[in-house]
Amino acid sequence: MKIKRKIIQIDEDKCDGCGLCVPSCAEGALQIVNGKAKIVADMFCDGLGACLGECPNDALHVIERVADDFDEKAVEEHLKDSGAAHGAHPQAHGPAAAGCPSARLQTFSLASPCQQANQPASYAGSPSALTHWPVQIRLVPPTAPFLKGADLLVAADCTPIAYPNFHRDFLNGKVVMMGCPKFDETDAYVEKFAEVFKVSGVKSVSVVTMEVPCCQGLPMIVRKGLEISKKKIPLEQIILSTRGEVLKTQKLVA
Amino acid sequence: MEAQLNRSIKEVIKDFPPVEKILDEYGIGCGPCAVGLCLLKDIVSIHNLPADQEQEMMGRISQVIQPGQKVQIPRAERKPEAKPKELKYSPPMKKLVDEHVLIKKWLALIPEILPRLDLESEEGRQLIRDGVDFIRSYADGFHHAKEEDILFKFFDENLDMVKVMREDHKTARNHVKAIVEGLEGKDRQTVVHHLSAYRDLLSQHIKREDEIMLPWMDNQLSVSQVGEMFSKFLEVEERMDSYQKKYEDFISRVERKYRKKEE
Amino acid sequence: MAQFSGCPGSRMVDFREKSDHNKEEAKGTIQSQLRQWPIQLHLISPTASYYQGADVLLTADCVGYALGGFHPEFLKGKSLAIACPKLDEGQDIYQEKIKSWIDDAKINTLTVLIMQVPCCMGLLNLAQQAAKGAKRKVPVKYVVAGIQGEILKEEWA
Repeated sequence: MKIKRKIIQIDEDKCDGCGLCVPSCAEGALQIVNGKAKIVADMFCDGLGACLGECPNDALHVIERVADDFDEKAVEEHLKDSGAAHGAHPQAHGPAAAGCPSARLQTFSLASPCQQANQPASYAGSPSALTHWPVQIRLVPPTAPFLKGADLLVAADCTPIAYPNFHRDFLNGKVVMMGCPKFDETDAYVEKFAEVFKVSGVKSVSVVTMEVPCCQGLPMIVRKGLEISKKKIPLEQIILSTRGEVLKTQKLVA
Repeated sequence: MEAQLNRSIKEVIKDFPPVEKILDEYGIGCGPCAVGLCLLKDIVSIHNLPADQEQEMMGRISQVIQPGQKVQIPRAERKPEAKPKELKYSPPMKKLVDEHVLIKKWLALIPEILPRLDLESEEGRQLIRDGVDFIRSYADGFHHAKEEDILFKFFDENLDMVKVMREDHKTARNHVKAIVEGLEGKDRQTVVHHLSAYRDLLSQHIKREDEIMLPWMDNQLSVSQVGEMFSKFLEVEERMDSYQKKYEDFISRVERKYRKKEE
Repeated sequence: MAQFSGCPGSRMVDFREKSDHNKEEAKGTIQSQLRQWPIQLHLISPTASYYQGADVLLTADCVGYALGGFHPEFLKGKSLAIACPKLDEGQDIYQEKIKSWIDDAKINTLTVLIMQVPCCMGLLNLAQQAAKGAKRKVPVKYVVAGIQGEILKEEWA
């Protein structure tokens, strides 16, 4: 459906076809055709301008015009078709998503004890416990290798901001999927979790949320996903206060 | 040699005069410095010369200090090899650096003005009066005021670097006083001498600020302090808001006059 | 913007004074440097008390998951808001809020902390556009974090 909206415009006088913008588009909307960058199809461009910073010639701008509306489903199909990763990141495992590092699957290990010992004292307790990317519920595929047989942490967006020892107390040794039960599309989440539980062999699930009421949607979503999957997996919920304390830990499924 | 590394450069040069020339050959201009409090070892590490040049220079200096002795030169703390220097400044520091650009334009004009300076003519005298006004109002009243009344206040007044810079400002003001006196007495020699000396002093001073002091200070400041300084600078600029344009116009006028004459 | 809305999730709370930010850190324990609620850019009121004249940190949602030392290294002494430039809906209001920080709350500085992934640049672009459109000028710093917890870039815009 055509509407007036924000979309990328390529100034072909300035564009020299260097191609730096192509991998920066998570939707695969850009391609070099006959030496100039072109939008493959208007509906693939979300108009957010992630590509803007990549162009050395200032050829990319966000404008408003009548165009096909951004179509996520079409983008998904498009990305599946374009398949092969180009110049895969050395640490990428499994079916790498095309181009954009924001969705590219990556697994990496924590610093060795020797490397950790080398950290300045002021960093005590603060190395990162994250071992994979992506982290957003929306972006993690159920087949991600790092999910296989893992202990899963499902976290509400705000939790590491409210709880400073998040890495040490919750993330350490776990794989995380984060989202916001108030603002995100939660129906898709139920389906996503159902798939995750069905195929990944996840061993346990901890859901960490804030004390605020809007956050309570998250454990409900995870629970529903678990029911649909028909798997038996222990599920617990941890509730945090905005001052950074653990208010409550409770088993939801033994 | 160890002992010398921990002495102030003023003392090292006093006892071993050839050191001044050696430093100068590597682009380190400690000689003309009025204060000379920086320690030799700090000077070496701040300038971050490429490893081979540093070894060579230190080797030559040690030959002067301890001739004939084979000395082990302790390598200065290595920072990663500097890429072609594209110094990045915080926004308030960048303002100071941009103001330096205008002041440097004035300094570049001085050797072009002086040979033809005629204090007997009203034109010649007016040029010097305008030049003094530029120095006193823009370089000093506007720019140095930001440095002394705002920037330096974020640091310990007893810091060597701050003391050195303040001394330079003082010396510059004294030169200007002498220029004004020379102007009143139509004493061309005095005016030429002090305006040249002013030029030499400020050129070195600005280079040191741009390449060493301001980046170092930027590293010491917290984000909050940068914001505070930025907003204080804005207040000064609002109070003196015609200065930038007025003095840019002045410099353009003089440049047009003196550079056209050369053709 | 309502000072007190029904939902506790968006009710404004300012706890800058109450928390003891300088308490001795027990070995390996990090003190919380968070002094406000809410934190989501969609929910915050740009003129809330904790933004007035403050050093503000605008950070991408994922950053807290990538940086173990987020609190002591970046949040300390600042007020913040989190957002996702890729996945959040209704981002037009974001520019207005950032402009309001600058012009109405008269913030001291704005630090934009993002991940290295390309879509995160959108947050910096957003902030820079807003800063351009604001009447007041404030220094803007941007910091780019790697997914393994390293700081890749830290520069004044």
